[in-house]
Amino acid sequence: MRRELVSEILFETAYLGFAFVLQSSLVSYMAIGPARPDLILGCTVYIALWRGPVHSTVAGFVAGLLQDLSFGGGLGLNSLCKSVTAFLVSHVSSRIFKERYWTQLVVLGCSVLVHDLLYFVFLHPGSVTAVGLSLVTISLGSALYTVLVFPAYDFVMRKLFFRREGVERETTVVPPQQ
Amino acid sequence: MQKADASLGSPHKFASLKVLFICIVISILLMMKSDSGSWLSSPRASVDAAIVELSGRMGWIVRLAWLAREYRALHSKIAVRTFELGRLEELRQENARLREQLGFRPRSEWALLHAEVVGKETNRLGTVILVNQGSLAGIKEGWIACSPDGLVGKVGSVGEEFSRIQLITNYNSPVSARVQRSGVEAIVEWKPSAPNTLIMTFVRPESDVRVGDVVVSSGLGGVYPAGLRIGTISKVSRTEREWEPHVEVKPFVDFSRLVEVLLVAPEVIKVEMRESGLFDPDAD
Repeated sequence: MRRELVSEILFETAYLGFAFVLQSSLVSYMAIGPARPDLILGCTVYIALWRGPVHSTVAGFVAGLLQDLSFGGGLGLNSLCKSVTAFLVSHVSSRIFKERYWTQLVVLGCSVLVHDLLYFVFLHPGSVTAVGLSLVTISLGSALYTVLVFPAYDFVMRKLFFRREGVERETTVVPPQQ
Repeated sequence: MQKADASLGSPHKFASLKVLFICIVISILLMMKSDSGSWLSSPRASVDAAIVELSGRMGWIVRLAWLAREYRALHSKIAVRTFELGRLEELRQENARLREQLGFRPRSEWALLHAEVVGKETNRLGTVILVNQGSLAGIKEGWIACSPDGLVGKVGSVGEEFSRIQLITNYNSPVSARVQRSGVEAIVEWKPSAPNTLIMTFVRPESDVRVGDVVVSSGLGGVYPAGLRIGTISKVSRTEREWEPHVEVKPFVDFSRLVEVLLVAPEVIKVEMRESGLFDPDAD
Protein backbone atom coordinates (compact mmCIF):
# COMPACT_ATOMS: atom_id res chain seq x y z
CA MET A 1 0.00 0.00 0.00
CA ARG A 2 2.79 2.40 1.00
CA ARG A 3 4.83 1.42 -2.05
CA GLU A 4 1.85 2.14 -4.24
CA LEU A 5 1.41 5.52 -2.61
CA VAL A 6 5.07 6.44 -3.17
CA SER A 7 4.77 5.32 -6.78
CA GLU A 8 1.64 7.47 -7.22
CA ILE A 9 3.33 10.52 -5.72
CA LEU A 10 6.37 10.00 -7.95
CA PHE A 11 4.10 9.79 -10.97
CA GLU A 12 2.29 12.96 -9.98
CA THR A 13 5.61 14.74 -9.47
CA ALA A 14 6.69 13.76 -12.98
CA TYR A 15 3.20 14.58 -14.30
CA LEU A 16 3.40 18.10 -12.89
CA GLY A 17 7.14 18.46 -13.61
CA PHE A 18 6.79 17.75 -17.32
CA ALA A 19 3.82 20.09 -17.44
CA PHE A 20 6.03 22.80 -15.93
CA VAL A 21 8.76 22.23 -18.47
CA LEU A 22 6.35 22.21 -21.41
CA GLN A 23 4.50 25.23 -20.09
CA SER A 24 7.72 27.24 -19.90
CA SER A 25 9.09 26.10 -23.26
CA LEU A 26 6.69 24.69 -25.84
CA VAL A 27 3.42 26.30 -24.78
CA SER A 28 4.68 29.82 -25.48
CA TYR A 29 4.95 28.81 -29.14
CA MET A 30 1.40 27.47 -29.12
CA ALA A 31 -0.31 30.69 -28.03
CA ILE A 32 -3.15 31.85 -30.25
CA GLY A 33 -3.51 35.50 -29.32
CA PRO A 34 -3.96 35.66 -25.54
CA ALA A 35 -5.18 32.06 -25.33
CA ARG A 36 -2.77 29.33 -24.34
CA PRO A 37 -3.31 25.92 -22.79
CA ASP A 38 -2.67 25.68 -19.06
CA LEU A 39 -1.05 22.28 -18.57
CA ILE A 40 -0.23 22.88 -14.91
CA LEU A 41 -3.85 23.62 -14.08
CA GLY A 42 -4.88 20.63 -16.20
CA CYS A 43 -2.65 18.38 -14.11
CA THR A 44 -4.07 19.80 -10.89
CA VAL A 45 -7.63 19.23 -12.09
CA TYR A 46 -6.95 15.68 -13.29
CA ILE A 47 -5.24 14.84 -10.01
CA ALA A 48 -8.20 16.33 -8.13
CA LEU A 49 -10.68 14.29 -10.18
CA TRP A 50 -9.31 11.01 -8.89
CA ARG A 51 -7.88 11.95 -5.53
CA GLY A 52 -9.28 12.97 -2.20
CA PRO A 53 -9.73 16.64 -1.33
CA VAL A 54 -6.75 16.80 1.06
CA HIS A 55 -4.29 15.40 -1.46
CA SER A 56 -5.74 17.54 -4.26
CA THR A 57 -5.65 20.75 -2.25
CA VAL A 58 -2.03 20.17 -1.27
CA ALA A 59 -1.09 19.24 -4.86
CA GLY A 60 -2.79 22.39 -6.13
CA PHE A 61 -1.05 24.49 -3.51
CA VAL A 62 2.40 23.09 -4.33
CA ALA A 63 1.88 23.41 -8.09
CA GLY A 64 0.68 26.99 -7.70
CA LEU A 65 3.54 27.88 -5.39
CA LEU A 66 6.10 26.56 -7.86
CA GLN A 67 4.37 28.48 -10.62
CA ASP A 68 4.47 31.64 -8.51
CA LEU A 69 8.16 31.08 -7.85
CA SER A 70 9.10 30.37 -11.44
CA PHE A 71 7.12 32.85 -13.48
CA GLY A 72 7.67 35.87 -11.27
CA GLY A 73 4.89 38.19 -10.16
CA GLY A 74 3.28 38.09 -6.76
CA LEU A 75 3.78 35.06 -4.60
CA GLY A 76 0.77 33.18 -3.31
CA LEU A 77 -1.75 34.09 -6.01
CA ASN A 78 -1.43 30.93 -8.07
CA SER A 79 -1.11 28.73 -4.99
CA LEU A 80 -4.35 30.16 -3.58
CA CYS A 81 -6.27 29.84 -6.86
CA LYS A 82 -5.03 26.34 -7.60
CA SER A 83 -5.60 24.97 -4.11
CA VAL A 84 -9.19 26.33 -4.07
CA THR A 85 -9.84 25.01 -7.60
CA ALA A 86 -8.42 21.59 -6.73
CA PHE A 87 -10.51 21.48 -3.56
CA LEU A 88 -13.69 22.34 -5.47
CA VAL A 89 -12.97 19.84 -8.27
CA SER A 90 -12.25 17.11 -5.77
CA HIS A 91 -15.59 17.70 -4.02
CA VAL A 92 -17.55 18.06 -7.23
CA SER A 93 -16.00 14.90 -8.67
CA SER A 94 -17.69 12.74 -6.03
CA ARG A 95 -21.11 13.93 -7.23
CA ILE A 96 -20.67 13.42 -10.96
CA PHE A 97 -20.05 10.52 -13.29
CA LYS A 98 -16.43 11.40 -13.85
CA GLU A 99 -15.54 8.18 -15.69
CA ARG A 100 -17.21 9.62 -18.75
CA TYR A 101 -14.69 11.33 -21.01
CA TRP A 102 -16.91 14.32 -21.81
CA THR A 103 -17.59 14.96 -18.14
CA GLN A 104 -13.86 15.21 -17.51
CA LEU A 105 -13.51 17.74 -20.32
CA VAL A 106 -16.42 19.83 -19.02
CA VAL A 107 -14.93 19.79 -15.52
CA LEU A 108 -11.55 20.79 -16.94
CA GLY A 109 -13.02 23.69 -18.93
CA CYS A 110 -15.09 24.92 -15.98
CA SER A 111 -12.08 24.61 -13.68
CA VAL A 112 -10.04 26.89 -15.91
CA LEU A 113 -12.83 29.47 -15.74
CA VAL A 114 -13.19 29.15 -11.95
CA HIS A 115 -9.42 29.37 -11.50
CA ASP A 116 -9.19 32.41 -13.75
CA LEU A 117 -12.14 34.07 -12.04
CA LEU A 118 -10.32 33.77 -8.70
CA TYR A 119 -7.06 34.84 -10.30
CA PHE A 120 -8.49 37.97 -11.92
CA VAL A 121 -10.50 38.91 -8.83
CA PHE A 122 -7.26 39.01 -6.85
CA LEU A 123 -5.33 40.60 -9.72
CA HIS A 124 -7.84 43.41 -10.34
CA PRO A 125 -9.46 43.82 -6.91
CA GLY A 126 -12.69 45.82 -7.07
CA SER A 127 -12.81 46.17 -10.83
CA VAL A 128 -15.69 44.07 -12.13
CA THR A 129 -15.17 45.31 -15.70
CA ALA A 130 -11.52 44.29 -15.76
CA VAL A 131 -12.34 40.86 -14.34
CA GLY A 132 -15.18 40.37 -16.84
CA LEU A 133 -13.10 41.51 -19.79
CA SER A 134 -10.16 39.31 -18.78
CA LEU A 135 -12.46 36.33 -18.44
CA VAL A 136 -13.99 36.89 -21.87
CA THR A 137 -10.81 37.76 -23.75
CA ILE A 138 -8.33 35.43 -22.06
CA SER A 139 -10.06 32.72 -20.06
CA LEU A 140 -12.67 31.48 -22.53
CA GLY A 141 -10.06 30.82 -25.20
CA SER A 142 -7.63 29.35 -22.71
CA ALA A 143 -10.31 27.04 -21.31
CA LEU A 144 -11.16 25.77 -24.77
CA TYR A 145 -7.50 25.41 -25.70
CA THR A 146 -6.73 23.54 -22.47
CA VAL A 147 -9.67 21.19 -23.07
CA LEU A 148 -8.33 20.47 -26.56
CA VAL A 149 -4.67 20.03 -25.65
CA PHE A 150 -4.50 18.68 -22.11
CA PRO A 151 -6.13 15.25 -22.72
CA ALA A 152 -3.32 14.51 -25.19
CA TYR A 153 -0.71 15.36 -22.55
CA ASP A 154 -2.55 13.24 -19.98
CA PHE A 155 -2.78 10.32 -22.43
CA VAL A 156 0.93 10.45 -23.29
CA MET A 157 2.02 10.70 -19.67
CA ARG A 158 -0.19 7.81 -18.59
CA LYS A 159 1.12 5.68 -21.44
CA LEU A 160 4.71 6.59 -20.60
CA PHE A 161 4.31 5.73 -16.93
CA PHE A 162 1.96 2.76 -17.47
CA ARG A 163 -0.84 4.40 -15.52
CA ARG A 164 -4.46 3.48 -15.87
CA GLU A 165 -6.92 6.31 -16.29
CA GLY A 166 -9.76 6.79 -13.88
CA VAL A 167 -8.49 4.82 -10.93
CA GLU A 168 -9.80 6.44 -7.85
CA ARG A 169 -7.53 6.55 -4.83
CA GLU A 170 -7.99 8.23 -1.53
CA THR A 171 -4.64 9.05 -0.05
CA THR A 172 -5.95 10.59 3.12
CA VAL A 173 -5.67 8.04 5.88
CA VAL A 174 -8.85 5.96 5.81
CA PRO A 175 -9.16 3.19 8.36
CA PRO A 176 -9.83 -0.19 6.76
CA GLN A 177 -13.50 -1.19 6.71
CA GLN A 178 -14.31 -4.03 9.07
CA MET B 1 -18.82 6.08 -5.52
CA GLN B 2 -19.28 4.83 -2.00
CA LYS B 3 -15.64 5.40 -1.27
CA ALA B 4 -15.79 8.90 -2.65
CA ASP B 5 -18.83 9.66 -0.57
CA ALA B 6 -17.06 8.30 2.45
CA SER B 7 -14.29 10.80 1.83
CA LEU B 8 -16.88 13.52 2.26
CA GLY B 9 -17.98 12.25 5.58
CA SER B 10 -17.78 14.87 8.28
CA PRO B 11 -14.29 14.06 9.75
CA HIS B 12 -12.71 14.04 6.29
CA LYS B 13 -14.70 16.98 5.12
CA PHE B 14 -13.39 18.97 8.03
CA ALA B 15 -9.88 17.64 7.44
CA SER B 16 -9.99 18.84 3.86
CA LEU B 17 -11.47 22.17 4.91
CA LYS B 18 -8.69 22.56 7.45
CA VAL B 19 -6.06 21.87 4.80
CA LEU B 20 -7.75 24.33 2.42
CA PHE B 21 -7.89 26.93 5.16
CA ILE B 22 -4.17 26.46 5.90
CA CYS B 23 -3.31 26.72 2.18
CA ILE B 24 -5.37 29.90 1.82
CA VAL B 25 -3.80 31.48 4.91
CA ILE B 26 -0.28 30.62 3.72
CA SER B 27 -1.07 31.95 0.24
CA ILE B 28 -2.46 35.22 1.59
CA LEU B 29 0.54 35.62 3.90
CA LEU B 30 2.84 35.01 0.92
CA MET B 31 0.91 37.54 -1.14
CA MET B 32 1.36 40.13 1.59
CA LYS B 33 4.99 39.24 2.19
CA SER B 34 6.13 38.92 -1.42
CA ASP B 35 5.76 42.66 -2.09
CA SER B 36 8.53 43.51 0.34
CA GLY B 37 11.98 42.07 0.81
CA SER B 38 14.43 40.27 -1.38
CA TRP B 39 14.11 36.94 0.43
CA LEU B 40 12.37 35.58 -2.66
CA SER B 41 15.27 36.05 -5.02
CA SER B 42 17.16 32.95 -3.92
CA PRO B 43 14.31 30.38 -4.21
CA ARG B 44 13.15 32.04 -7.46
CA ALA B 45 16.64 31.81 -8.91
CA SER B 46 16.80 28.10 -8.02
CA VAL B 47 13.44 27.32 -9.61
CA ASP B 48 14.34 29.43 -12.66
CA ALA B 49 17.68 27.62 -13.03
CA ALA B 50 15.94 24.24 -12.84
CA ILE B 51 13.34 25.26 -15.40
CA VAL B 52 15.92 26.77 -17.76
CA GLU B 53 17.94 23.57 -17.51
CA LEU B 54 14.95 21.31 -18.13
CA SER B 55 13.48 23.57 -20.81
CA GLY B 56 16.84 23.58 -22.55
CA ARG B 57 16.72 19.81 -22.65
CA MET B 58 13.19 19.96 -24.05
CA GLY B 59 14.28 22.51 -26.65
CA TRP B 60 14.46 19.79 -29.28
CA ILE B 61 10.66 19.70 -29.42
CA VAL B 62 10.58 23.37 -30.37
CA ARG B 63 13.45 22.84 -32.79
CA LEU B 64 11.59 19.89 -34.29
CA ALA B 65 8.59 22.06 -35.08
CA TRP B 66 10.91 24.70 -36.51
CA LEU B 67 12.75 22.10 -38.57
CA ALA B 68 9.50 20.76 -40.02
CA ARG B 69 8.55 24.25 -41.18
CA GLU B 70 12.07 24.87 -42.46
CA TYR B 71 12.05 21.52 -44.28
CA ARG B 72 8.88 22.38 -46.19
CA ALA B 73 10.27 25.79 -47.18
CA LEU B 74 13.61 24.34 -48.25
CA HIS B 75 12.02 21.47 -50.12
CA SER B 76 10.27 23.82 -52.54
CA LYS B 77 13.40 25.99 -52.76
CA ILE B 78 15.52 22.97 -53.68
CA ALA B 79 13.14 22.06 -56.50
CA VAL B 80 13.58 25.52 -58.02
CA ARG B 81 17.34 25.50 -57.45
CA THR B 82 17.73 22.05 -59.00
CA PHE B 83 16.02 23.31 -62.12
CA GLU B 84 18.24 26.40 -62.17
CA LEU B 85 21.33 24.26 -61.58
CA GLY B 86 20.57 22.27 -64.71
CA ARG B 87 20.40 25.46 -66.73
CA LEU B 88 23.58 26.81 -65.11
CA GLU B 89 25.43 23.61 -65.86
CA GLU B 90 24.50 24.07 -69.50
CA LEU B 91 25.77 27.66 -69.37
CA ARG B 92 28.97 26.59 -67.57
CA GLN B 93 29.78 24.13 -70.31
CA GLU B 94 29.02 26.73 -72.96
CA ASN B 95 31.21 29.23 -71.12
CA ALA B 96 34.07 26.71 -70.90
CA ARG B 97 33.79 26.03 -74.65
CA LEU B 98 33.82 29.74 -75.50
CA ARG B 99 36.76 30.44 -73.16
CA GLU B 100 38.65 27.63 -74.81
CA GLN B 101 37.89 29.06 -78.26
CA LEU B 102 39.05 32.54 -77.14
CA GLY B 103 42.21 31.08 -75.63
CA PHE B 104 41.35 31.95 -71.97
CA ARG B 105 42.67 29.67 -69.27
CA PRO B 106 39.98 27.79 -67.33
CA ARG B 107 38.76 29.35 -64.07
CA SER B 108 40.03 27.82 -60.86
CA GLU B 109 37.57 25.94 -58.64
CA TRP B 110 36.86 27.46 -55.23
CA ALA B 111 37.28 25.26 -52.21
CA LEU B 112 34.58 26.34 -49.78
CA LEU B 113 34.92 25.75 -46.06
CA HIS B 114 31.75 25.46 -44.01
CA ALA B 115 31.54 27.17 -40.62
CA GLU B 116 28.77 27.66 -38.09
CA VAL B 117 27.99 30.97 -36.47
CA VAL B 118 28.56 30.56 -32.75
CA GLY B 119 28.38 34.14 -31.55
CA LYS B 120 27.28 37.59 -32.47
CA GLU B 121 28.55 40.92 -31.33
CA THR B 122 26.26 42.11 -28.58
CA ASN B 123 26.41 45.85 -29.14
CA ARG B 124 23.68 47.74 -30.96
CA LEU B 125 25.11 47.42 -34.46
CA GLY B 126 26.21 43.78 -34.20
CA THR B 127 28.34 43.79 -37.32
CA VAL B 128 30.89 41.17 -36.25
CA ILE B 129 30.12 37.47 -35.95
CA LEU B 130 32.12 34.59 -34.54
CA VAL B 131 32.37 31.28 -36.43
CA ASN B 132 33.64 27.90 -35.26
CA GLN B 133 36.53 27.52 -37.72
CA GLY B 134 39.95 29.07 -37.28
CA SER B 135 43.60 28.78 -38.17
CA LEU B 136 43.54 25.02 -37.47
CA ALA B 137 41.19 24.67 -40.43
CA GLY B 138 43.52 26.81 -42.54
CA ILE B 139 41.57 30.04 -42.35
CA LYS B 140 43.55 33.26 -42.56
CA GLU B 141 42.75 36.91 -42.16
CA GLY B 142 41.07 38.32 -45.25
CA TRP B 143 39.19 35.18 -46.28
CA ILE B 144 35.77 35.80 -47.76
CA ALA B 145 32.58 34.71 -46.05
CA CYS B 146 29.40 34.12 -47.97
CA SER B 147 26.11 32.29 -47.44
CA PRO B 148 23.80 30.61 -49.93
CA ASP B 149 21.94 33.94 -50.12
CA GLY B 150 24.96 36.07 -50.90
CA LEU B 151 27.99 37.91 -49.61
CA VAL B 152 28.40 38.02 -45.84
CA GLY B 153 31.77 39.70 -45.21
CA LYS B 154 35.43 38.98 -44.67
CA VAL B 155 37.48 37.38 -41.91
CA GLY B 156 38.78 40.13 -39.66
CA SER B 157 40.82 38.14 -37.16
CA VAL B 158 41.57 34.46 -36.64
CA GLY B 159 42.00 32.33 -33.55
CA GLU B 160 42.87 28.64 -33.48
CA GLU B 161 39.31 27.42 -33.50
CA PHE B 162 37.32 30.61 -34.02
CA SER B 163 37.31 33.44 -36.53
CA ARG B 164 35.73 36.86 -36.37
CA ILE B 165 33.94 37.94 -39.51
CA GLN B 166 33.32 41.57 -40.34
CA LEU B 167 29.94 41.72 -42.03
CA ILE B 168 29.44 43.91 -45.08
CA THR B 169 27.18 45.97 -42.82
CA ASN B 170 30.29 46.89 -40.84
CA TYR B 171 31.33 50.49 -41.43
CA ASN B 172 34.82 49.22 -42.20
CA SER B 173 33.85 46.84 -45.01
CA PRO B 174 33.06 48.66 -48.28
CA VAL B 175 32.46 46.37 -51.26
CA SER B 176 33.14 47.08 -54.92
CA ALA B 177 29.85 46.41 -56.59
CA ARG B 178 28.14 46.24 -59.94
CA VAL B 179 24.50 46.48 -60.92
CA GLN B 180 23.84 43.16 -62.62
CA ARG B 181 21.35 44.48 -65.20
CA SER B 182 23.14 47.65 -66.37
CA GLY B 183 26.73 46.96 -65.34
CA VAL B 184 27.02 50.23 -63.38
CA GLU B 185 30.04 50.10 -61.06
CA ALA B 186 29.92 51.58 -57.56
CA ILE B 187 30.88 51.04 -53.93
CA VAL B 188 28.39 49.54 -51.48
CA GLU B 189 28.94 50.40 -47.85
CA TRP B 190 27.17 50.90 -44.55
CA LYS B 191 26.39 54.45 -43.48
CA PRO B 192 24.86 55.56 -40.19
CA SER B 193 22.21 57.52 -42.11
CA ALA B 194 20.51 54.25 -43.14
CA PRO B 195 21.27 51.71 -40.42
CA ASN B 196 19.25 48.82 -41.83
CA THR B 197 20.45 49.03 -45.42
CA LEU B 198 23.62 49.58 -47.43
CA ILE B 199 24.32 52.72 -49.43
CA MET B 200 25.64 52.70 -52.97
CA THR B 201 28.19 55.46 -53.42
CA PHE B 202 30.15 56.81 -56.40
CA VAL B 203 27.11 56.40 -58.64
CA ARG B 204 27.17 58.83 -61.53
CA PRO B 205 23.96 60.90 -62.07
CA GLU B 206 23.32 59.47 -65.50
CA SER B 207 23.81 55.90 -64.32
CA ASP B 208 21.07 53.41 -65.08
CA VAL B 209 20.02 52.20 -61.64
CA ARG B 210 16.46 51.20 -60.78
CA VAL B 211 14.62 49.88 -57.76
CA GLY B 212 14.69 46.08 -57.85
CA ASP B 213 18.04 45.81 -59.64
CA VAL B 214 20.30 43.09 -58.28
CA VAL B 215 23.70 44.26 -57.04
CA VAL B 216 26.66 41.87 -57.12
CA SER B 217 30.30 42.26 -56.19
CA SER B 218 32.38 43.55 -59.09
CA GLY B 219 35.66 41.94 -58.05
CA LEU B 220 37.51 45.27 -58.34
CA GLY B 221 39.56 46.14 -55.30
CA GLY B 222 40.80 42.62 -54.87
CA VAL B 223 39.02 41.92 -51.61
CA TYR B 224 35.83 40.21 -52.76
CA PRO B 225 35.44 37.97 -55.83
CA ALA B 226 33.23 39.09 -58.69
CA GLY B 227 29.64 37.93 -59.02
CA LEU B 228 28.68 37.42 -55.39
CA ARG B 229 25.14 38.59 -54.75
CA ILE B 230 24.94 41.53 -52.34
CA GLY B 231 21.35 42.74 -52.45
CA THR B 232 18.65 44.54 -54.38
CA ILE B 233 18.27 48.28 -54.88
CA SER B 234 15.43 49.29 -52.58
CA LYS B 235 15.43 53.07 -53.06
CA VAL B 236 16.74 55.54 -55.63
CA SER B 237 16.26 59.25 -54.99
CA ARG B 238 17.72 62.12 -56.96
CA THR B 239 17.75 65.64 -55.55
CA GLU B 240 18.93 68.83 -57.15
CA ARG B 241 21.20 69.63 -54.22
CA GLU B 242 23.11 66.35 -54.51
CA TRP B 243 25.19 65.53 -57.55
CA GLU B 244 25.14 61.85 -56.76
CA PRO B 245 21.83 59.95 -56.54
CA HIS B 246 21.01 58.38 -53.19
CA VAL B 247 20.81 54.63 -53.75
CA GLU B 248 19.93 52.18 -50.98
CA VAL B 249 20.62 48.45 -51.23
CA LYS B 250 18.76 45.87 -49.17
CA PRO B 251 21.13 42.94 -48.52
CA PHE B 252 20.01 39.45 -49.54
CA VAL B 253 21.46 37.99 -46.38
CA ASP B 254 19.40 38.34 -43.21
CA PHE B 255 22.31 38.95 -40.87
CA SER B 256 20.14 38.58 -37.76
CA ARG B 257 19.33 34.96 -38.68
CA LEU B 258 22.70 33.90 -40.00
CA VAL B 259 23.53 30.40 -38.73
CA GLU B 260 26.23 29.23 -41.15
CA VAL B 261 28.73 30.71 -43.59
CA LEU B 262 30.97 29.44 -46.37
CA LEU B 263 34.56 30.63 -46.30
CA VAL B 264 36.82 30.94 -49.33
CA ALA B 265 40.48 31.91 -49.63
CA PRO B 266 41.14 35.24 -51.37
CA GLU B 267 44.31 33.84 -52.98
CA VAL B 268 42.11 31.74 -55.23
CA ILE B 269 40.22 34.85 -56.22
CA LYS B 270 43.39 36.86 -56.86
CA VAL B 271 44.83 34.14 -59.08
CA GLU B 272 41.57 34.00 -60.97
CA MET B 273 41.46 37.76 -61.42
CA ARG B 274 45.06 37.93 -62.55
CA GLU B 275 44.41 35.18 -65.07
CA SER B 276 41.33 36.91 -66.41
CA GLY B 277 43.45 40.04 -67.06
CA LEU B 278 40.77 42.30 -65.67
CA PHE B 279 42.62 43.53 -62.64
CA ASP B 280 45.90 42.94 -60.84
CA PRO B 281 45.18 43.00 -57.14
CA ASP B 282 48.87 43.00 -56.24
CA ALA B 283 49.67 46.00 -58.43
CA ASP B 284 49.30 48.50 -55.60
